[in-house]
Amino acid sequence: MGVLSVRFLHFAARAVVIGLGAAWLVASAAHGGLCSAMTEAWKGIAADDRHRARARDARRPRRGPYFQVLERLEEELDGREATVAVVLSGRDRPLYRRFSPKRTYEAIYRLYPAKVDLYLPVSESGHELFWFDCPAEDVPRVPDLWRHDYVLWVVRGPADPPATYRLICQNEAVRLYRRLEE
Amino acid sequence: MPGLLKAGLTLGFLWLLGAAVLEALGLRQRRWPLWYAQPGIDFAIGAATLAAIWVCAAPFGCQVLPWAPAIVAAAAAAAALLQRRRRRSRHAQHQAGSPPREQRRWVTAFFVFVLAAAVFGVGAQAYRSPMFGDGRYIWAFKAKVMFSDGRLDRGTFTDLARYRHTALDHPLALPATEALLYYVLGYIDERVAKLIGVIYLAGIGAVLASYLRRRMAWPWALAVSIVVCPVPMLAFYAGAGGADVPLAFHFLAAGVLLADYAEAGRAEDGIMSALLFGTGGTVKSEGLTMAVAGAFALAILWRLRRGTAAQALAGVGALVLSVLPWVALRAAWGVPSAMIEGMHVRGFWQLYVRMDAIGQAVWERFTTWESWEAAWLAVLAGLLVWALARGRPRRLGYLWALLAWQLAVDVSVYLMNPYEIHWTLAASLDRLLLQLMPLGMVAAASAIAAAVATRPPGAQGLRDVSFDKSEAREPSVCRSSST
Repeated sequence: MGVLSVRFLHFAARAVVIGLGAAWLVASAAHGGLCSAMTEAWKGIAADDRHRARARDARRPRRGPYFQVLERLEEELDGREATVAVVLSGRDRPLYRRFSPKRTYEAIYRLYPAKVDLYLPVSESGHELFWFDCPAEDVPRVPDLWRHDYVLWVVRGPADPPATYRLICQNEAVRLYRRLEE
Repeated sequence: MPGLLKAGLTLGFLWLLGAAVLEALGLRQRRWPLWYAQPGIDFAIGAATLAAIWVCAAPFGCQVLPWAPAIVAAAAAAAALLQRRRRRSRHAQHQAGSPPREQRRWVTAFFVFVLAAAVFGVGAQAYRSPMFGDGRYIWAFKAKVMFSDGRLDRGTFTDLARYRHTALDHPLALPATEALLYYVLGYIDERVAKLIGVIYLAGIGAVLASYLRRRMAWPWALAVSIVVCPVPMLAFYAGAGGADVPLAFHFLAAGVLLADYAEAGRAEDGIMSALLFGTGGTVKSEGLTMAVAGAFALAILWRLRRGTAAQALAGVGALVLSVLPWVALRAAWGVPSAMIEGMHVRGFWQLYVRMDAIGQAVWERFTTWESWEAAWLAVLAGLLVWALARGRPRRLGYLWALLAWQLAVDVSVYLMNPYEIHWTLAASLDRLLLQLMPLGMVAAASAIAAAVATRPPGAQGLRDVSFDKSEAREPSVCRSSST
């Protein structure tokens, strides 16, 4: 009897495990899970062959007008060194120390080795260099706003950009200016 | 597909590099870990070696990519071959300690399949999702710089400090691996870079199962790995591009080797543990504080085990030489630390407020049932069982002590750092906890297994009796392999 009951328990345990496994596989196939993960992975692998073989950065672009212009500038720079001023809106101002809105760091990361300087509005028409939480004496010397090679203006464009700059790209939220050769 | 194939070959190269280094050091002759866990440790050592190459080449302004890793790998391979030839005469002795064949193979096969499916799922998810902020701006940013320049230049590197969020004080094992991947691919592909964390996650599963297999039956050991690996906190960060999961792997592997050293007294385990504690310091800054605790624990064990001076020297050398290049370079270049700068001791009331916030945040994470963080409750249960059980294994005390130390360090940093407490908790607590979760789970599972195994005669418990017989033979085998 004892042997029988042990056997029965063994059988029952196997049946439960196999049943659960089968149910999991069926549910996975029916509702996604492993099946969709494999499909998605294969799509990604297959797509890897087709596109961006020569791209400098193969990840998916972020959505939105700001990131579209950033991508355009990234293509224009193509890994060259340059100075870029990014003029952000007031809502991009960091709330805490080290806080990093995606827009600021995305520009810094994607445009490297171009040096990115960030500007924030301080009044109706004025902008000041923003330098995270550095002590004032550690803030490096950077060119004035309109001395950079490129100016990426997030808010509505300035009323009168200097004549030495040309608008090379714009959309509903961002304008991109390039300094003309002197 | 060619991109993934190239990435696979590159990661395979790192595995071989690590295996060659360990073989050359004579640290691949142990009874543990079992064969399926060894590649994870090899890979981690390979990545740490690559980081050391970058750091050592930096003061001389040497170009690292592409030849430096290849030259070091060739030298390590030659040394490994010499070492293997020297040890061949003793090799037969190690065959005797092979683990017994598993009786319930179908359960094991099923659990292995589930674990592999879980890791594959994490990998697929990682491949198709974007990298998270810190992964990109802290780790991938440095990798981009290293890939673009091919070397570490002081001016370029420290110039990144002007962007505070790049956290320059974190070491370079992950960026160095990513930069090598980018170099082989010929372009920057963050999707492939994120697979590095998935490899470490698979390593965590394998090391957990490998260690627990010696304390409980195979399926139970695998079951613990199956519970740990897909925990959302761990799975998300494994595929997010950060260094927390690699660091969790180092903590786990170093911790269980320390526990093995405490149990069996094999010097190789102690040295290997010291090496992994040290290389943890090349993955993330938190690894440095854990290395201090590891060094302290190893010193106590060395004293208790009456180890030789040569063993102590080997352990100290492995630990110190792992972290020294990076620490020296940081000091020489004056790399600022975003975390330590501005730390100060606060008044009593402010400390209380911060402590209260920390306690609430930790409790919230321990009890978020819907996201499986209930795994923490299993860790607490294991701690309770270990504390209350009679004749509790002393080796597990070292694991609990490591956990307590690192938690104490993390809490101290929260209490003293200059940042707003709720923001800094929201930004980092998950990751600090996940670094410790695999170590906590292995300690808890071992404690529960030990408590069940010490039940009255006749009770089977979780322990695999067939495996105990081989354990009984083990000391004679391992003593002969000690150096």
